[in-house]
Amino acid sequence: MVVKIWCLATLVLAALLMGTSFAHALEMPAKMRYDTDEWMHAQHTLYFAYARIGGMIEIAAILAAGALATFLHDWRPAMLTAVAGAAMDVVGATYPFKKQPIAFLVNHVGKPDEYEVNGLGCVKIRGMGIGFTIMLLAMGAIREVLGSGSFLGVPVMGRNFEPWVIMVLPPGGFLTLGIIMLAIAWWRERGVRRAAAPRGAR
Amino acid sequence: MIGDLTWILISSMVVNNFTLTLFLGLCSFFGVTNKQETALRLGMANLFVLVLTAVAAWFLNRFILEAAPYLRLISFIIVIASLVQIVEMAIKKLSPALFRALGIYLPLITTNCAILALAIFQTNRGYGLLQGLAFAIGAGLGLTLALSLMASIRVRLDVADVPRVGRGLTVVLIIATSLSLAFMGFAGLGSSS
Repeated sequence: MVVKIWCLATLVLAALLMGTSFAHALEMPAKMRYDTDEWMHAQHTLYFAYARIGGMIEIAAILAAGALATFLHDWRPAMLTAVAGAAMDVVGATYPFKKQPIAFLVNHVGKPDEYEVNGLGCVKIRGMGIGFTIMLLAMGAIREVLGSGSFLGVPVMGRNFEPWVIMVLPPGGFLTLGIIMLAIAWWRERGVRRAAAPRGAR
Repeated sequence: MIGDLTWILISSMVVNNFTLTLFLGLCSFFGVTNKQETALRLGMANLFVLVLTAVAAWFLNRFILEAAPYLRLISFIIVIASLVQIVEMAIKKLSPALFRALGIYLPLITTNCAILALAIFQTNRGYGLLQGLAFAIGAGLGLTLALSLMASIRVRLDVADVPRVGRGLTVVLIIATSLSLAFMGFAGLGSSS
């Protein structure tokens, strides 16, 4: 029963996510013709709710699909489908953010506007490995949200949030990568432990 | 003049440490800091190549690249690589013991991003020969410092009881965080002068 409700929730979230991404894709040809000022203006006025609500939905959709995959880990075909769904969600969620994640990662501190202007950044990123891109996006997102309380330049953490300045300084890079690796190692360790345990003991 | 050079040296050594605050040369920082001696040796080799690079970059900028500034990057890469190659052959002939001690690290340093970064920083800031040398020595000492600090911590880590999930690179990254945090403390040095 829980799994069925969860399935429905995941479907709804994924549909909402794909809706926003599809809208982004549709408006992109028109937006590419804007000059810098118009682009910035549109970026800062139109997408307010996209980042606040849409961003939450995107993250929730990825998490929901991931959780579904864990629920179904005994039933292999269903789990694979859910994992594929989660991967699709990640791709859909990252599509609108294709503006040079390296810039987010490395130096968005001093020049918040430079990378947003460059709509063609997407072309460069296609060449990198998807895994590398996802890693960069994850690190950039964590560091930006915690370090300056904003996501893609739009404040998301509320008025009273005190930014963790350390996250945008050099140590934050090491720390974020370390914590991500810790999470991955924990995940793997868990898989090994589960495989080693007798089947009934789960 | 002397004050200027000293400041460049100190600044590139600790305040803008190549590894810990600029993320340059991280591969060797994480890759070969297992043993104190190796790390120290690699740091020294880095210092040596950095000084060579500074001189070469100054020479290129002063006498050659004025006519063709667009060839800067590729000429840096080629000149540094061939310089290291020549030095490697000379060391192999003159002092086989040192050659064996440096091992693979000497050629490996050629493509280290810290080396190319030094040449590019030096060009962008318009350093002269002496300033470039001070910059290179400072950066080299800073790299050596970071590498040997990390190595000495990792040596003790071998006998420490690290949780199983955190073993390997993860705990090293967390240590790098605190080292980098410690080096952030030097950032206040510049404000008074």
